[in-house]
Amino acid sequence: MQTITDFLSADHRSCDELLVAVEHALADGKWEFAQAAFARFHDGMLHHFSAEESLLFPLFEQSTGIYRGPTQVMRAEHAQMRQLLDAAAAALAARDADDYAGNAETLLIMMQQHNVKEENVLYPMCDQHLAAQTPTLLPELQQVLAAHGEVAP
Amino acid sequence: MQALLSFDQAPPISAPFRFFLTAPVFALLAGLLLLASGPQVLASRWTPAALALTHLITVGFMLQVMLGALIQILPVVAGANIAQPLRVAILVHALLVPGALLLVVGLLLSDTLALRLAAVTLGLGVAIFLAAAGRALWGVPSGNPTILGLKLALLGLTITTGLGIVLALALGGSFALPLLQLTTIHFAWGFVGWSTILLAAVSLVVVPMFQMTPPYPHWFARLFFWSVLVVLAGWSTAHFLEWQQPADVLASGMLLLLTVFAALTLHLQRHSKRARFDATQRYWRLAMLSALAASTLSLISLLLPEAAAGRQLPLLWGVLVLFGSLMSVSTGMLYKIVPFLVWLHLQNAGGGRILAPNMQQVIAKRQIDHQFHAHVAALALLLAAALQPDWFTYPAAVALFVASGWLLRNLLAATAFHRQHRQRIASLARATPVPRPG
Repeated sequence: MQTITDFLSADHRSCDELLVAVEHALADGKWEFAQAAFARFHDGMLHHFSAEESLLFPLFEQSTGIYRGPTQVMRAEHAQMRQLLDAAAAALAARDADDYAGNAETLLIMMQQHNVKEENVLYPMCDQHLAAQTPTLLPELQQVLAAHGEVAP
Repeated sequence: MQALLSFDQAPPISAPFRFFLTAPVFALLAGLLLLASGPQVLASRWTPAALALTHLITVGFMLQVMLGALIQILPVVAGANIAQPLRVAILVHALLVPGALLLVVGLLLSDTLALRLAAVTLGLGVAIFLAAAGRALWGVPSGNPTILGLKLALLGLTITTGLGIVLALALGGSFALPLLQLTTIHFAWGFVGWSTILLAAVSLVVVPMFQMTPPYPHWFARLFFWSVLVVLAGWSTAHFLEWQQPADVLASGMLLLLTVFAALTLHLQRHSKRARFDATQRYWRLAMLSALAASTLSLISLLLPEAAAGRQLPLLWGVLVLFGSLMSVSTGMLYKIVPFLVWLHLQNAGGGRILAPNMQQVIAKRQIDHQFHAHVAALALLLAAALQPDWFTYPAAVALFVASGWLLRNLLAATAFHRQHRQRIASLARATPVPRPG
């Protein structure tokens, strides 16, 4: 059976791919293409946050009774990443390549250190504590993530 | 399990930064020492100045960067929070700095008292770090290869330091021991058991995620750490007991493992999805190429023992491993860790209401590029000096001094940037009151 760790780690990787697409478009000087690619990335990130914040984290908090632990830190980091996403979007709209590169690089490191914490620590804890709920949880998560594809194909 | 239950916010910025800022000072001292002692330093790897130089780089530079970085990354990678990280950092740093200086003075002047004091201070500093990190990692399951690698690296550090203490006391005349064998074993544990295992553990995370490469293959992640440790332990025993043939076979095995790691990392980096290579990635590539060159030289010396007994091969090898490989990769990592931490702490200081400038503004890209070029020039000149000390020792010393000074300059620029923007953010925060909810 698929684990929460596998399922959500795979979504992390697909967000990575979307970010890389922006970088390549910019390296080729294709601004419009980069903006469209960024919109897909931005959207993918927001859906990922939303899947965690609306489904996974509350379930983890209820089943472990830990409300002020890792999920609190993860929510705070989501907030920081939302700000970086906005800053990168603004730089892209202003066609400021340096400002975009700086914000995107900061976002990349923020994102990856966040992903390491989730993939090495939080998701395995979820797998351990939410084993019984996983068969129903995964399709629900899938639904929130899939909404992303519909908004920005 | 308790360690897993919360990610603390990152430790205070001064915890890792005190290590990062003193590290290049030791590399500067290495440049000065090379300049002061001239070509005769490179008469053999056993000259007092060569030993002092080696420890300025290993204990002065690398150990500082590695411990500073570990205090930062253990909570991230393993969910292992070091209790009171600032206090641990202050204490460990306050012991490592004088310890490294005493060790260098002791080796340079063959001063018994300095060597004994170095053994005590460094031993205590490393022991405090090991106790704090060990306690944080205790109970974190080792199912994940990175976490296993980090634990085994700490074991490697324990053995390296233990042997180092024994050697320092033996050199100080406290007891008679087979010094040559023990020195080689001490070096192998420092290079392979501690540095390489730590680097590989960190690479499993850093290379795929930050450089956007395919992941390391499962077989490598699963087998590498234990294989290295078992082969290293076997080689140490054989070498100590002077079983020449088994020692040679095991040494070849160890080299093969290192070659696989370096070649695999280069291969993965070639498939990086990033649109362009930045300084950190260039530093990584330089480090892995140096490691491959060092492995090739070792293979030559196993096949041609006469060449290995000469002066040049061990010196070339030392330059490739210490400067080309380990110092390069540490410097490359600093250029990611330091700007990111500055951004993170400024962002936290702004409480989400005042945005921090992005991390690429922390150290000017141009300055990083210049420093990288100075580093490459220093590597080339140090290699040339190993071959032709009379011609190249002084230029190499100047280049090492310049490259290290430039690194220090770049790291100081980052701290100045942090200080300046923290003040700006604090005054802005006072001017914009927190909006009341509702």
